Amino acid sequence: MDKFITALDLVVQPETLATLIGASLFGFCIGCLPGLTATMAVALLVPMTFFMSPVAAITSIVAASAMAIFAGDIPGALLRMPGTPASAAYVDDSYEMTKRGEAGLVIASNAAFSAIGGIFGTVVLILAAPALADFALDFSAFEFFWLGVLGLSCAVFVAGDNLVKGLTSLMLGLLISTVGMDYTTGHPRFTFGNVNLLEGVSFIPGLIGMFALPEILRSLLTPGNVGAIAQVTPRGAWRKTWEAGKRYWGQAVGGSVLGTIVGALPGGGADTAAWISYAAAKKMSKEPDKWGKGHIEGIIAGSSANNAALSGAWIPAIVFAIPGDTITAIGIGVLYLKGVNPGPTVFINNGELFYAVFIIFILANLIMFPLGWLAIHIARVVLRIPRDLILPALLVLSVTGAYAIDNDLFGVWILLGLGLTAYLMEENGFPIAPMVLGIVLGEIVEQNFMQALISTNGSVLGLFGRPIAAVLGIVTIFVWTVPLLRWGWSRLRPAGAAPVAATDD
Amino acid sequence: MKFGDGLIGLFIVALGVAVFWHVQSFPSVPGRFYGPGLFPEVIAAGLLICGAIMLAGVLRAAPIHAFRVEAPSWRGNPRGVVSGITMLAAILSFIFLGDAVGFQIIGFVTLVAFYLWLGRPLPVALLVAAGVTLALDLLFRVVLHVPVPSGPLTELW
Repeated sequence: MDKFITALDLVVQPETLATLIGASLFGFCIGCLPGLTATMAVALLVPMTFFMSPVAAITSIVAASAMAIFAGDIPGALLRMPGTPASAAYVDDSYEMTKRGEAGLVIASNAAFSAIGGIFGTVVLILAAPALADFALDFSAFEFFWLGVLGLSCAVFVAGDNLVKGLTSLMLGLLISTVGMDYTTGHPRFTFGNVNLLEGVSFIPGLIGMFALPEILRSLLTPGNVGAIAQVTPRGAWRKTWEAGKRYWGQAVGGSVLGTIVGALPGGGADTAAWISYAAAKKMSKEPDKWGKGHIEGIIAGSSANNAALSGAWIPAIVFAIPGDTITAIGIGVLYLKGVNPGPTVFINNGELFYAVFIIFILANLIMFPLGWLAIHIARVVLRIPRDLILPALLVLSVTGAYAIDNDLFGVWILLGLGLTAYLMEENGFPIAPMVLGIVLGEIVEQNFMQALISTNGSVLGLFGRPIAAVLGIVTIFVWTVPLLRWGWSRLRPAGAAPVAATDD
Repeated sequence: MKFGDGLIGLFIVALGVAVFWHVQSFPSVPGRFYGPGLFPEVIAAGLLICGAIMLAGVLRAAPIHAFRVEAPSWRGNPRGVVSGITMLAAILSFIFLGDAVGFQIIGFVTLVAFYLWLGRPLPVALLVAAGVTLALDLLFRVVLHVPVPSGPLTELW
């Protein structure tokens, strides 16, 4: 209790509170801009943490990243450009709802369920940190490989109406992820002599290209104006959010739980958490046919999951100094910089500091409500601006954003190449989401696959050689084979003496 | 632009074969089946299977329609086509002229060209383009310290 009071004293310092608000606003702006990620927001803050107390330094990172992940939902809803990769899973649902005039509801839900997910993750962080991190610490390449494949199987669920086209899209994404130097031998693969490709296809320019460029191109080719649709009032938005929350509270809880777990596992970031939670909620939904066409259920599941993952990632980061994602990796760096060494002894040596951090986590998530309210008002203004004024500006913003990630014009090539590919794919009924998933998880899956094969001397059965890996492997195989068997069954059935003809497209 | 599923299936199969063929040139470690080519081979197999299923599907249902190229949705909309081409031209000029001319000038010209083409009067086009260019420059170059290529303007700031 003494430590808690000391912690509270650290939090109410003017410096800490000012940092909390300043970093939140900063994270909000960065998250809103497509192409600028939460990681980028945090990275840009590091030089400023030099001049802060340890508590304020961590505050700035926690607040900026939490707000950036929430704010990333806003351009997703308004422009179909996810502000950060973590918002990509449910961007189609958000944008479809905006086209129906429900932008206010989407953003209010994003804010509310981001906060709920974040607070849930924090509570788990406070209560169960040591036990969960201990579990993840035991993991090796075997478990991470299966975890990655399990992540890929989400593609089956987010594939949409056509399973084969969804899987093809996933394969293309995986193929893109293999570009660059091979993990085991350093052999350049699919680079065709281009030195820019040795490091692989830069993900952020690709993401801007795949989500922004087709949208800009389509709008230019076929004129139309989203702004003409009447938008709900902010008051109506919060009321509807409350109603949606009452109806889909299970999705919010499920998203928070899944998000926290995925976030706590090293390698699983906020974006993976959003995908998995979206897919799992769709699988369990009573109205799966509405998904992807502007349904609030997936938005609730995804919004709560990505912010929960952010809190969850701090579990192994604080207790074992293992970063769960890039944000906590930077965070650990800042902790060392401030002379605070994360690890099992952290609660003995710096107890009050970390209780202060926990309080900051809660505050950083609560501040999303006023900022969400602000965002709805900004959104109403943004949507009133004529589309033909915004589109060219977005084009220039996308190009500059693609350049800014690596300070390299090659990023603009990636933007153009993947953007046109995505446009052609969507025109022909191929969903983009599985491709993004393939690009994100491809490297993780391959690296762990190769590591596991090398350590078992090439025995594929060895992938099941550890108990947790075996369980994960069996679950993964089950998840992959059931839809395929069901699909094959529906093809074979009309040939047999089935009483009801299967619908065959 | 819409392609028939048969054409797409053929393309996917061809891509799978090409990947598989190209991967054979990757070095392999003697006595090991797992090298840099293994994972791409698995992907190539996946592409082959997906392409084959698509082909099998169309051959059973409607073989003639499956190999057609449909008229694109923007046919009969020349204004839209010009806008699309302008977009491509703008991106390519960022790539090829970015270092020499600078992002600010290319961005400004792109914006003015688009606004005029989309029917805005010249003063509005100039004003909005200047405002957007300044705002983006302020954000990226000044606030975020991104070394945005500025071409001849580099001397000015």
